Amino acid sequence: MSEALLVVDDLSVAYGATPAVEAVSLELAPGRCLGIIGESGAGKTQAFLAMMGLLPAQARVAGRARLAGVDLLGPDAMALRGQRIAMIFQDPMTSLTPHMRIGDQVAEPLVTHRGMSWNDARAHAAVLLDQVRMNDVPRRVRQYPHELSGGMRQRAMIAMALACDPKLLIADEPTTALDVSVQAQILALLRQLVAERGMALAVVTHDMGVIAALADDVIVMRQGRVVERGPVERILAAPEHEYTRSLLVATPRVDTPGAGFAGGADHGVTVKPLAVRDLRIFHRLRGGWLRRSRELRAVDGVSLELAAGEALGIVGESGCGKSTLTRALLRLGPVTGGEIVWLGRAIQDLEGEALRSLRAGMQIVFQDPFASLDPTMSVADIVAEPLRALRPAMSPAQRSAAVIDMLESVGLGAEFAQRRSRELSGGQCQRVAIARAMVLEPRLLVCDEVVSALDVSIQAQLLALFEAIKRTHGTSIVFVSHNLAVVRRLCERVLVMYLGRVVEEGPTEEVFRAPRHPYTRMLLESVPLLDPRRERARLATLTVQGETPSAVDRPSGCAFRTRCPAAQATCAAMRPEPEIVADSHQVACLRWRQI
Amino acid sequence: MFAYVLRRIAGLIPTLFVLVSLSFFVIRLAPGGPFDQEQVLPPAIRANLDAAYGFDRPLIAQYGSYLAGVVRGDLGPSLRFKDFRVNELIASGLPLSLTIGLAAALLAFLIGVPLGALAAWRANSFTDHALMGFSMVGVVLPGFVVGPLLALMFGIYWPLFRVAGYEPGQVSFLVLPVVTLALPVTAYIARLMRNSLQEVLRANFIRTARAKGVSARHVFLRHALRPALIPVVSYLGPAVAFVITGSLVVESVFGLPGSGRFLVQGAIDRDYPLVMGMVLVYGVLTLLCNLIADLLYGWLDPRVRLA
Amino acid sequence: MVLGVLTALALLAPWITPYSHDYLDWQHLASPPTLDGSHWLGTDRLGRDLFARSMQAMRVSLLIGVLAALVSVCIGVAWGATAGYVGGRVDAAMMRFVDIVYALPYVFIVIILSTLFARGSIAALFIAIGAVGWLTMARIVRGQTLSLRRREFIDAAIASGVRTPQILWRHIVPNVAGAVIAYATLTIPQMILFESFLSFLGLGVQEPFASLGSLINEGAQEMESSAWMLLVPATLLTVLLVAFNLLGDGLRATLESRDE
Repeated sequence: MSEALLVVDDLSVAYGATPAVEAVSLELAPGRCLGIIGESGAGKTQAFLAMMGLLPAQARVAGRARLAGVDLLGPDAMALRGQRIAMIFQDPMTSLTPHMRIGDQVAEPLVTHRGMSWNDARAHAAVLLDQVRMNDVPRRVRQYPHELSGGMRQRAMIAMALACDPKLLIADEPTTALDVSVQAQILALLRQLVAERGMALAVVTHDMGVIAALADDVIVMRQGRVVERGPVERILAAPEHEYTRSLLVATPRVDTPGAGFAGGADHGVTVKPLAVRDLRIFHRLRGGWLRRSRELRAVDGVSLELAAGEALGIVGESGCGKSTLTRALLRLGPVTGGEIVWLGRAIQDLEGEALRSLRAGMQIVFQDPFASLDPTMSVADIVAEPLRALRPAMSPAQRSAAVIDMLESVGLGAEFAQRRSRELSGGQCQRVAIARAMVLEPRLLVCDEVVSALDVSIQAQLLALFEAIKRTHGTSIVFVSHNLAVVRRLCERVLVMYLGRVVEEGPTEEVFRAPRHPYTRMLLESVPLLDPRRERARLATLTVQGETPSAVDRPSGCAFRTRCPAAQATCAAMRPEPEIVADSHQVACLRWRQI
Repeated sequence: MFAYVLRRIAGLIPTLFVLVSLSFFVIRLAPGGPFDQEQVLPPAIRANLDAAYGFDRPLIAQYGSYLAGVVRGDLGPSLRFKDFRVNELIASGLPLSLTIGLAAALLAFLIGVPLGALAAWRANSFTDHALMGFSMVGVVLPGFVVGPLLALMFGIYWPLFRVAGYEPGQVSFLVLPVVTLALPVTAYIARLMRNSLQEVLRANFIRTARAKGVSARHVFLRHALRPALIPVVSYLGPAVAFVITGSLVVESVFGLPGSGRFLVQGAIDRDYPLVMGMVLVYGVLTLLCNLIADLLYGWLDPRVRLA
Repeated sequence: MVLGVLTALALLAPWITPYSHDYLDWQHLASPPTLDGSHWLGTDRLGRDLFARSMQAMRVSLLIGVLAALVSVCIGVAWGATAGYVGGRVDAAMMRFVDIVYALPYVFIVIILSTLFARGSIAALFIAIGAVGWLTMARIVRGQTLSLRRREFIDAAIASGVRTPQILWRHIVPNVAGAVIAYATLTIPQMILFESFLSFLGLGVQEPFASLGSLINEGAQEMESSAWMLLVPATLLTVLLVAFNLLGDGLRATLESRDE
């Protein structure tokens, strides 16, 4: 048992009268990883910012924190920052200096702490970037942050943090802003680096999957306090504190059967309310005087069908076109070609009053809870607005009654009616948005990443709400998410998209149990499991590679071939069309039979 | 980068064109003509005058020949100062106006930026409050207030500089006018710089730089300064526009023979070619400065270059 | 924001005076200017009480400032909101227009415009000043509208079947109102300044009315012998402008902190 490297005793951080962190104690030994899990507001980031000395001047810190004997809260701590203790942050885009080249930013700690010349430091930086497995290092070194993809930027951040060989690395939500396939690669990278360098790693996250992947020991924080601690296997398998238990229960698993398991509805018989055929949405990027204009194929020939009362999940990573698709379904965005058939009518070309009259039947809820609500309007007005627009015959009294009814059915009491959005939490705002969408009793509800911005426990509550909506109103739901576990829980059928095309489609259970398309397999492989042993094994043998190319420079033929382990020459020549695997399960891959 | 520059330059031409055309037609619309100020002329003489200057031709024809002249570089004859062509008139006063304007703008940036940075560096200290207090007043005071006040202070009560007229080569004539002109711009830039820096210092990448252990001074100079300069550079265009209009006032207050007076006088006299010439010259200057500002902007923010 | 109180004082001051003085020609002590005594701030060349004149001038300046700001708000909001909401070609065309007019040093416009009307026409003054002021307001409103347009609640309103004019009126306008008020408050001093500038050039308010600008002009001419004729209106103008600027700045700061 090695000597503890980091010892924190009774650490507290407060802003005026409000405590952010209360009496937190922890220990970390070299070569070990400590996972700190909690929801937003738990104070986990604040505690570590305090250790790094990065809190604003108004924060008052109390307690003790020592790294290898040196007091982190005292005046000598400055020398340690960046050298013995380093930190990487959540959002690599805004966390990198936009006007400095990557190579220079990675080299900077070496110049600052080791007194190297800039040229020497840059050479060393190139080596570091190599170690974090950045591609094409000589070119990258001279590039700016905005020219790199999310995964590459995070690798650059890691390289920067490791430059002076720190003894302790703090990772604050290192993978939250990344696509799931990139997340898996970064997690694997972190494990490897920690093992190679014998560093201590502290990971702050709200994602249980990340804990399972990286942590040896776990601390659970809630509202500034530690509520439970222990080795990772025990915490995940047999949590003692009820909060920890509630977190685990609320976290949906990708390996547990969900909605589809209860037996799918009989699809063949009734007429499908929504059918989309070969939908294309192309954007013309203007070139200006001296450049040719390019075409961005946001949605490139997508077809789908939706049965009554069914939830269809649409999964895919950034740039796959899922948001563009959903907006087009509701005619909130442009359509370049193809058909959208709603209740038997082609609606892709409808305008004006004809379109407006259909709006009552299809509604949408968005990702950002606060941006979805007009900050100048009261909750009651927000929910009443669709009624005023599309049910003019209703009297004000009837409208009020309907609004109160709706609020109650989404779990908000009548006292919320006069509040404004800035007085509500994220989860409450989403409920209001759902109430607004459902007040017209639509037959189609489109949900665009609606739970992605919410804490896990709130997420679980809203998912239950959606299930109730499906059951009681018979509403069909199109549920867009990058979170495969959530989709598995809620949706009977799933559609997988990549760069504007559907690569696989079918009953959720079947697609998740036996995926046919290499991309679906990669996605499923990327999702962290909640069993630490299986998770470490998975990371060690990870075959996930690369990142989604930009939609403007899409590869010819099959768009996925640049990352596909099974790609061959033919994949570049021909675009794969959907082929039937089994009843209602389709895949678009030239080689699906062989792999 | 080169392509970016070319694109920007190409964009200027339509604007210039509209500028010239607009002014041409608007000034013609003004009631009264160039010959109405003097005593009423007998019709025959009037007709001769009109013919001599081409005023009897249809408006479009006049427009066309004016444009042709512009392309050749000839701005026409002055109607008021009958022995001079517009080119000559403007050329007589422009160098002085430009000198004053340029000096003022340069002074403003050279002083304003460091002051603003200083205020941000020592945020919320006495220095900060003092500087911002001064700048608040400086922004607000109009040139025609400051000018006479400075003239009073430094010209009369405490004679250090000259306050009226101009002798070529004698800098002391220029000091007060330049300072008067530069003052509001300096003040504004200082505030802009300070606010911008404060905002940049709250950004995530500053936190990263501090987390790397970079010294506070280097964080400020290497990471914060360049992005913070962006709004200041964007202000370059309006700053120049301000300086141009302000030079009118300053020349008037201090009695300097610059080109500003031609504009006002020309409008009152309905001296069409003169006004047009001034509009053109000043328009080009403004647009050029906007262009330079844009180019600087591209250097400061790499993201813009690829746009 | 505390300094907004100062503004209130500045605003009240002119209203105190007319009750005890006539606005202008108080030809009590005819010719030479005297210092203090029964004329608190002295008199001008023609013997008119400077205090009364200054108060009247301040009222004129304030009136012009506020009205001109109002004009610029109306035009600016209408222009900017339409451009920002409709987007596309309409937006590009409308903003091009703004850009071009903006590129002209505003002096030109004023001079050109002022020559279109008879001298001293107050209406012309308003139009000239307002015509220049709305540009920045339009830009700001357009910017705000553009970023609002992208916010999901606008899409939600469309999906709820709300018609475009209603969206503009019930959603866009209330949300830009904050920014508009803040910048309008900052526009007022600009308008006052501009008007003073015009008066200084001799193009603004005419005798026997005065505005702070024309008073300053007169004072500048008498500067060597009667410095107070310059200092009084100059100080008043400065205080007025600073007060408005502080008010507007305070509003702007609270606006931005609420947005975060």
